[in-house]
Amino acid sequence: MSDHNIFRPPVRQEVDEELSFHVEMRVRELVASDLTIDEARAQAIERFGDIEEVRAACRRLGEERDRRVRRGTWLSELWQDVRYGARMLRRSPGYTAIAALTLALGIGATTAIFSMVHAVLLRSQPFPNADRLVVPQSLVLETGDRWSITYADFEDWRVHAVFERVAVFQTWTANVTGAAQPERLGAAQVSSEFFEALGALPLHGRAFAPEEYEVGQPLLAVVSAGLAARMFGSPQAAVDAQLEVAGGSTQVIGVLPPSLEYPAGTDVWMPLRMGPERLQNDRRRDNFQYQSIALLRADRSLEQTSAQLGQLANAAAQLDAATRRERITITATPLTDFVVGSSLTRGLWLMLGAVVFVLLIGCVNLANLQTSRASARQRELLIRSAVGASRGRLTRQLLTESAVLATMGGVVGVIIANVGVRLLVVAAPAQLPRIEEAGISAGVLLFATLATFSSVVFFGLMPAFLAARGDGALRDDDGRSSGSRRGRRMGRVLVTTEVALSLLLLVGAGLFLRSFAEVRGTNPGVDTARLLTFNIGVQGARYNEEELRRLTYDALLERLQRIPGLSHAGIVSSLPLGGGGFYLGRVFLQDGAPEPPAGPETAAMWVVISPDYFAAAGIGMARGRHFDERDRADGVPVAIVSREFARSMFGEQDPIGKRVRSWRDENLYREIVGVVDDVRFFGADDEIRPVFYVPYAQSSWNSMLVMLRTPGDPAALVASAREAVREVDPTLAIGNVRTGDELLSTALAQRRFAATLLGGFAALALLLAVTGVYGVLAYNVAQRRREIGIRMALGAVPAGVARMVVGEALRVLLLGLALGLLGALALSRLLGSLLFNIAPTDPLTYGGAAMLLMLVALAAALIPARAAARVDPLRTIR
Amino acid sequence: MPKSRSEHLHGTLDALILKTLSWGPRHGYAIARWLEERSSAVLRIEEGSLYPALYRLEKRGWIEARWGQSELGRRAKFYRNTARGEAELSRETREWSQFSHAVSGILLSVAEAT
Repeated sequence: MSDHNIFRPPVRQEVDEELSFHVEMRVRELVASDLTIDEARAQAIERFGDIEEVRAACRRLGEERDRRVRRGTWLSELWQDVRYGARMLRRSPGYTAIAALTLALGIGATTAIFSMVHAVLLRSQPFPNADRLVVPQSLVLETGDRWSITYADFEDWRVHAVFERVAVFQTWTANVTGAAQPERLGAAQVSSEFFEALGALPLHGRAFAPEEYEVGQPLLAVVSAGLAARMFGSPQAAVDAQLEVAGGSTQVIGVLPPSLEYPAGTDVWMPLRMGPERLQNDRRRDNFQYQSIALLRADRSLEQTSAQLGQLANAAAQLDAATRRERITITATPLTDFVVGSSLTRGLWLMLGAVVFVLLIGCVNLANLQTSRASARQRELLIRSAVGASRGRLTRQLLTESAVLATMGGVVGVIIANVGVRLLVVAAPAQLPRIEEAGISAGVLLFATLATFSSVVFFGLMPAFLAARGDGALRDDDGRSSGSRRGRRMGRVLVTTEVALSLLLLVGAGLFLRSFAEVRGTNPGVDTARLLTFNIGVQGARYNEEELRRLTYDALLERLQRIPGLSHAGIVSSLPLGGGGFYLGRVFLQDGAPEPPAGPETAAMWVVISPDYFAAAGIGMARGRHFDERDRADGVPVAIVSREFARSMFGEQDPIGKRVRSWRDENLYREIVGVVDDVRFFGADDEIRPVFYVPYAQSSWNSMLVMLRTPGDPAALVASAREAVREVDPTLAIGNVRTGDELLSTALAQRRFAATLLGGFAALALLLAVTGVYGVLAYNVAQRRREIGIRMALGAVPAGVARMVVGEALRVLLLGLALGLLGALALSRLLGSLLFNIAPTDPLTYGGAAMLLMLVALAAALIPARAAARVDPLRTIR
Repeated sequence: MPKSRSEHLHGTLDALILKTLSWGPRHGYAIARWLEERSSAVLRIEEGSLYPALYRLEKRGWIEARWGQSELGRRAKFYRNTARGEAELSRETREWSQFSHAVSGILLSVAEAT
């Protein structure tokens, strides 16, 4: 159908010629029937009708026709190419399998990581107006620490209408009893507008009415869908049901939809009720006790809002010098950033970057293979171009072949990604929010398609470009043409790139693995082996008496110590290694220091413990004594401090016997009776922080954690511990039961995850790079058999030939390594804050990675070198 | 209804062209002449309207064109039916015969005595 296309005149000319032919024929006929030429012409034109209109219609139709023909040709050629490509791929199944697998691995890994990034970072939070939800926080100017906010600041924002809606809340762990056993659950007291700001309204029942936030109203709660299903069977059944929360009989009035629970892990929401006494205490400008959530005004940007928050913070600093508010400003962080956190965000993007490198290396490998094949197929291509295939047509055909390959790789890649995502979700640390929703969504598929087609461009275009540059003449030289020499040069360039990229990954993985080893190697300060922890709360009206709380803890410890096979039982208000509890930071002054302090403050963690806590946790005593029977409520107020506390407040002086107070809070002088070893407080990789320990006999709280040490299996203690708690008070619940090993493993999870992923990527990169090096050398040797044979006939010894091949590999390797090292140095700045005790330019890691790559690549080079040494000159030259 | 009528006319012209070309390749003028003769000038169309119909049919792939020499030695565009065009012609013919049979059955019937 298309054969006469080429000889067709353009449509315009075609129509003109055809129509004038018609008119002329008619004129000729009319003249033959005795009309004059002028009459004939007039009549012919009249009979034809509106010639301009016909002309225009014909042109339009003709152009449409040609477009359709062109499209048809293009499609049929494409189909031809696809079939031809598939045939070529079938003919070399080994190549096809390796190439498709390389691509599938690269695309699969990249897509899996992307789906994780997508689930955690890119999807917006599930709330309506999620893009306008922000979290206001206090920012300590000197340290960059972010704190909660004060109630007074919240009131300022309402007065000045900074936000469209703003709410504050406090979270705690509550003993909740439905129909059955009491449970320890996440609870929040929320101010009015909390649900409205989030746009999270109960699916069943209702939220709190304005007057229900007032003191004296009956106890009400909104609960999570999970709690409703667990305790009452269904959300409908939960509404109007009664629940015992922290010892108070509470009516459930609403159930939140599952996706709209905030903050994560909360099961019970109750109205925040501020009595006059509480208001007075919580309004203090240095009492940072509240978390906040706010909806930006539609007419204000985040920057404008932050600026106004800053101004109000400045104004607050002027009110009372004693609060030292000049050290603090207030900022608003978008909810998504707040939920994920900046180091996690950077870590995730880093993973994606790393895996894209793996895909790139895979593509370079394929480009390499394709180049070799293109040279080997030069004859085929030359014949095709000699019989009339245009250069563009040949390029297109090679590209189509690559696209067929890439599509195979992409399809298998998505299958691999699907499995990979499930593995990632299982292996991911608990700190990754919403990771469990990761999967192959439309966005992820789009990414995979994009990755597939970018790789086609990358590995398909290069060889195609190269092949297209081959001269259009048939030459009788078996593979020693300029084309194949160019192929070899191309091969070297590709291998250099590949070596450089792999080194980048190896260095990155090395830095992360060494950081992980460093974190594992640090002494957390706690002996986590053979340890069991759980939390417990003494709540309810009768426990408002401090005396009763203390007696209950006394009884509990006494009962726990009777469990057989238990060496120590301790209680503590917060666990080291970020294990949970109530983290309270306070500021301390020594006896006689001016108030407010002239210099920098000593801030420390306030931790309430039982005398046996240090023994249970395995924290060593450096000086002084433990708490004991002397340290009763009516005894001398005492404290034990950590080494870091002693160092930062007293330097070289002996702290024992010194008096210290937390001047803005308890404001009571406590005598230091002992010094204990430091612990890593918020995680295994946390800095060493000062800690201030006080005995529960002198400061007892409602919620504590129990720590049990045993010479045997800690998990075996769980049943007897539950039994012991029930015996002391059947309304008490225990929650979050974990062994010390689990505690440590959670603290290391994030780094282990990152190190494992990066290590896996680096191993994959190494494998790909080595196959690349091997492939190019083997190909070169095969191409140069004749040359090698001549050299040997002229007296070269096999060892010399092998040396030549290895020497060639070495040159390429060294260049690649040099480039890789430079690249790694340039990119290492991105890692800085994610590493631990390892400099981003750690010479050992760089050297080790380069050595490893070099050794493995040289080992791969030995195989073609041996093949070269075995070349038989007689066979090759003949 | 004017639209359906013009479509019908179009369809009729298309069928006539296909029929004309079923005897062999012809150029546009020859088609016009042949239609003129065979229809005894009853179906006198404006000659110009033949050409858009030819282009449309070519676009559809029912006919194809090739430049060649006319009987008088001039360059002319010759049309011929494609396989699809032939198939279309027999379909049109069948439909037309059914239609005309039905219509004439009514129009030419003799009123039965009651």
